[in-house]
Amino acid sequence: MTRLYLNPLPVRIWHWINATGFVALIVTGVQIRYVGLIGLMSFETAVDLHNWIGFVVIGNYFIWLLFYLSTDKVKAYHPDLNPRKYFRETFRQILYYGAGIFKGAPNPHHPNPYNKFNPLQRMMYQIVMLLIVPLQFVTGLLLWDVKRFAGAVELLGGVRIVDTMHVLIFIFFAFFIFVHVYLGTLGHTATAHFKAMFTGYEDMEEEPGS
Amino acid sequence: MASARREGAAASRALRAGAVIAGVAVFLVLFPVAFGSAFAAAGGETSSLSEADETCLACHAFEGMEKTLANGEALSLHVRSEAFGESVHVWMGCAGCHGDVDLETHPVERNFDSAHAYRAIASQVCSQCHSDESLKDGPAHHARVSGAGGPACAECHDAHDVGKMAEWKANVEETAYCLTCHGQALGAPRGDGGLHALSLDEAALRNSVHLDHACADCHAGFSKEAHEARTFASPRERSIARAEVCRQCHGDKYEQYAESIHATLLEDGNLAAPVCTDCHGSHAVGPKATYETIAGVPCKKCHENIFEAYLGSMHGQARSKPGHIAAPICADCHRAHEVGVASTGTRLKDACLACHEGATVSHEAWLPNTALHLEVVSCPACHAPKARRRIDLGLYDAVARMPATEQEGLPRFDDRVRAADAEGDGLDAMELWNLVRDINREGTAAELSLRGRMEVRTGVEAHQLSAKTEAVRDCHTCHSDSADPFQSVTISIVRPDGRPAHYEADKEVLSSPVSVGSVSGFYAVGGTRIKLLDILFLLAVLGGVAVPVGHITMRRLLRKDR
Repeated sequence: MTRLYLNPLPVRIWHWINATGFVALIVTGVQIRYVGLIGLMSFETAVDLHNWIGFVVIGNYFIWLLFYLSTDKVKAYHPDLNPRKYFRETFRQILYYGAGIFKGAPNPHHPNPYNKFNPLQRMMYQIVMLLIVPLQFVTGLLLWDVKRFAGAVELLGGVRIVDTMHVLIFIFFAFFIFVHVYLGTLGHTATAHFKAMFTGYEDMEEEPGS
Repeated sequence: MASARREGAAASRALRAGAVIAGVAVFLVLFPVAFGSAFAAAGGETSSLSEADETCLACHAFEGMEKTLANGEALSLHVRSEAFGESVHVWMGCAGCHGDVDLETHPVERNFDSAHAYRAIASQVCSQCHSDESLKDGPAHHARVSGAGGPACAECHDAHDVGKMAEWKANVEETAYCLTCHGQALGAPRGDGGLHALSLDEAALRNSVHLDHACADCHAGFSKEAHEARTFASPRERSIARAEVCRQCHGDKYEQYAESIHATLLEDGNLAAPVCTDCHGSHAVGPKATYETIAGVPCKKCHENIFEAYLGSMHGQARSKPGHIAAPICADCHRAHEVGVASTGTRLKDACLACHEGATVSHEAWLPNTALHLEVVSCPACHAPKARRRIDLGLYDAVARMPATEQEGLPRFDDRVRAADAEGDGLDAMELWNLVRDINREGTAAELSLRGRMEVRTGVEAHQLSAKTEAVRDCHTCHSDSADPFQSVTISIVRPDGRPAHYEADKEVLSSPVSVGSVSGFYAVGGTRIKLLDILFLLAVLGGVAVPVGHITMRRLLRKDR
């Protein structure tokens, strides 16, 4: 069994703050949106928590961003710039999750600190971290003080459009959280990836998925 | 003359006893010298009186001679002989007017309802010499001679000491000259047969802030010498025209008024819209403070229901306390002259915040997005907790950055709404979307969208303000789709006169996916959420659970087969 140091400390700090924050934002967001149907906490408390946690998650985002911009670990998102190879590996990974995994086939992706994610993860995490998450931050920030950011709200088409974008992304993350947690169980053991995200070290033996 | 005769007889009711009449006869026939002495004793010694006149004055020169009329009023029968001797009518003698009096039968029992009624009858004799036609040439009688509404001749000119008008005019002060007639019951005939009041309360005039003004200062064209005849289509138009004079001195206030909704309504032909005199009165114009009291505020004359609501509000109750002038009254919020449209713009909110200076800060302490709330929620929506609320989606011009105003020359918004809402049951989401699309397609460069505002439904409810402790502070009251404000929705546009025109809309316009485009400028968290997104969220959660469950199931099933 080989132990690889895949998750540096800044990434682990960012990840767990982000994960906790996302869950809290989803819970408080549900409470805010369905105030008449759910009574987990008061509307005022939910709004306050949602705002504060939102700012924490926004700040936390920069831990992730600065870490990858300031280290060579950023290569994990672009191990090589070969589109043909990327699409071939992506196809193999889809085949694995869609068929091979059911037959006990080995995971075609073999991670290392500079090639940490499989092609599907690479694509998805970049879309999430560079597009969807920032968009959620921006829409959340605009909704936090609509008057202060009235110009930007108008630019995006009005408060209803901004809110609809925020809710659509919220819906996506509500789905994403479930799938992300499930995919985390597809290590060589159900808890391997979770342990790796705490310790930083990943056991590389018998990896059915990631 | 017949009536005058009857009056002459009636006036002598006090002397009707036969003994008295006999005494008078003896007195007149047998003691002419004594008559002269008695007349002199009465103070009426003059050489211009005829013997017959002196006969009359033998009795009527006595001060205190009077009779009691039907209404209890005392009618003086006293004639100041000296004044009569100097009057322009002395040459006519008593018989000139009282030709119906027959000493053989005088006094005849007669009675009158009032002194005014008597003088009206007695004055009819004047027309024997002063015909209506001749009086029309004079400046002041055109109304009088039309036959109704004016005082009797004797009311203004007196009965027996009628002097030369030129001399009287030269010596009388102008206001007193005007009040000679206008201080009495006086009216001009209206087309409908009624009378337009032309009289004024002299005491009120003397107590007004215009005390030092001469009548002509306001009533230009009227003087001792000039009294032009004017005609108006209606009494209201007379009042409106008369109020124009106020701007001569109060130009600044007039300019403010000219910007008001009241002036706009008047310009648009609404004659019921108030002008200066409707609020300040014509002659009993009081100081500013007069109009800032519960009793004296003029707004209640037209806005009675709203004023009643105000009286019940915390502002009205506070203002009603003696000496408590800090609490606002109508003009403090709506302004006195530049009265604007209450339901559009920010002036009323500004008025609230002008007094409640710390309100923004105190709201920020607990209310998220305070600035937005203060913009899109009217103050009464929370501070009149018993009021019914609604959402008004106002058409907004994104280019001009202000509420869209209906443009003259373009198809009327009213027609567009009727065309869009073919069933007349209120605009639904699709109809609203079509309406906004069509307006932008056919309109000018303006980008028109709808912006929402929570407000109370009526002006009366807007004045039912409660104490701060009773204000709505519970977020649930509004941020729930079953909340009261979201059950009533209107669409509005600002009409050319500044007032909004409201049109009913289905409440679903707040929660329809179609409204993302048409109602892009309004969204209340929890209250106007789009139902389609709720379904998507449910599917996302179900999918989030189904994917792992499905995947795990597949893995286990296929692993068995392996």
